[in-house]
Amino acid sequence: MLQFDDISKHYPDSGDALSHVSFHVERGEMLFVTGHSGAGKSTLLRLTALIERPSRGNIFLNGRNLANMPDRKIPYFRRKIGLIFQDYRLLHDCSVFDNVALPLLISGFDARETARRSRAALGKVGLAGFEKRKPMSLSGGEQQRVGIARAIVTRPPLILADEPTGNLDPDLSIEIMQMFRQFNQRGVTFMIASHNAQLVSRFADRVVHLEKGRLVT
Amino acid sequence: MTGMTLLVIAISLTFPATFYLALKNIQTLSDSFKETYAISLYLFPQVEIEEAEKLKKSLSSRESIASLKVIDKSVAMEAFRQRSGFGDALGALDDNPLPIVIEVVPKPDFADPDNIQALVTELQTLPNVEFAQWDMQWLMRLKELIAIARRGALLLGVLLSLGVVLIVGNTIRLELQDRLPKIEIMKILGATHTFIRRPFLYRGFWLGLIGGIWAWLGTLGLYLSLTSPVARLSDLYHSQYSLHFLNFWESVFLLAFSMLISMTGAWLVVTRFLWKLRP
Repeated sequence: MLQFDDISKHYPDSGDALSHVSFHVERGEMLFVTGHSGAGKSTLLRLTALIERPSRGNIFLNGRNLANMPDRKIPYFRRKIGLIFQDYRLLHDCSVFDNVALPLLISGFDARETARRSRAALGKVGLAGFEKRKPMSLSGGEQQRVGIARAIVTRPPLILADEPTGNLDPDLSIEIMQMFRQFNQRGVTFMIASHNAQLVSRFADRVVHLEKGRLVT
Repeated sequence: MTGMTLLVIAISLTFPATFYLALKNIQTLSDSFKETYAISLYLFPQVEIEEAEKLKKSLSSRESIASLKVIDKSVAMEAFRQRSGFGDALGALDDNPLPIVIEVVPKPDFADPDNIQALVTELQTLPNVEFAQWDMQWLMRLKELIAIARRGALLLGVLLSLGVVLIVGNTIRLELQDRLPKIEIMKILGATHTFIRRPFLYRGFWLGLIGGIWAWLGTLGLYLSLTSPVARLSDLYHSQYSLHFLNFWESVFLLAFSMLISMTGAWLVVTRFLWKLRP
């Protein structure tokens, strides 16, 4: 589904974040990218979401070379992938419902469909009834579940998660991973960056390990 | 901040609108003198009516002249008697001292000061003409002054409009910085620039509309404060002259223009901001 072909990313001030990384992600698998912080996990995810462009190499999604995608098409591309962050990236002046509904609003869904899908997504992450709450009034685990609901509300085939449990305690982390596993069993492909060895060994279908920007097998 | 912005927009637009209104009124006033563009040819006293008619005939073929009228001595005398109040004194005169006058009205499309001046000089040299007089030189000068003032008003309008673009742009820029986290998240979720830009354009629209309405009210206030003094002055001159306010389409133009320039300000700033933020 997703193929990395000799990817390098060079930053002018901090050197090579990734060098000559090649691997692929199979459709329907739950792949973990591991490594210490600074090993290039986040960079890899950012390149995949086209938040940044690689210095060298190509990324193919379903056979399509992302390097050829012009900037103006990036928004439409991003609507087809779900993104989950360590710091949740929620809008704190909006309600939980509005946060989850935002991707649908951006994609131009009508109000009824937006409400229906947002409620369904909140139900799937166990936050039914939280619609009117503000993210600040929720616990970390609940906030991350809002983030997950926002990522799945457009039903993307691929979800990229960057240290999704980095700020959560072990029990909550396992809960979140079990939630990922449920979505994965319904066909969603996951690429998860994590340095939590325990979680990785328990949930990973396959692991890609990075060290100082290089792939280690 | 919004109140300040609106005030600046209102003041910036009240100025050119008032200036425009003043020029429009002066223009209306000067247009009411249009029929008096005539040049008076005073013939020598000894010239008789037959010769005057001959002169009129020879002039009537000229392209620059719209109409000619011979005013005979007796007619002129009668008019003078009625208007001057010297009726009785004039009765004491043995014969009529007034010369025959030919009124020459130039064609309107010919009536710019240089042309008329040239015509006056030329008519002056004709035989039997003692002198040619054109009273409306001051009116022409006024017209020229209006033309200069209009150019000045346009320049002022352009500069102040640019000011509106900048102030709206600045207001929007501050809001953009406030909402940077939100905008970044929206971009990550696949929002197009058009989508992110839209609310800011609405903001520019409302700033422009409300600022424009304030400017219209400001202009109205200045107009109202001038109407009664002008009416009194006009009364002193036994004139029916009264000030005109902006008509419907001019008001619509003011509002539309205000909205247009403030939306332009918003658009420029958001577009630049998003361009720097990409992808």
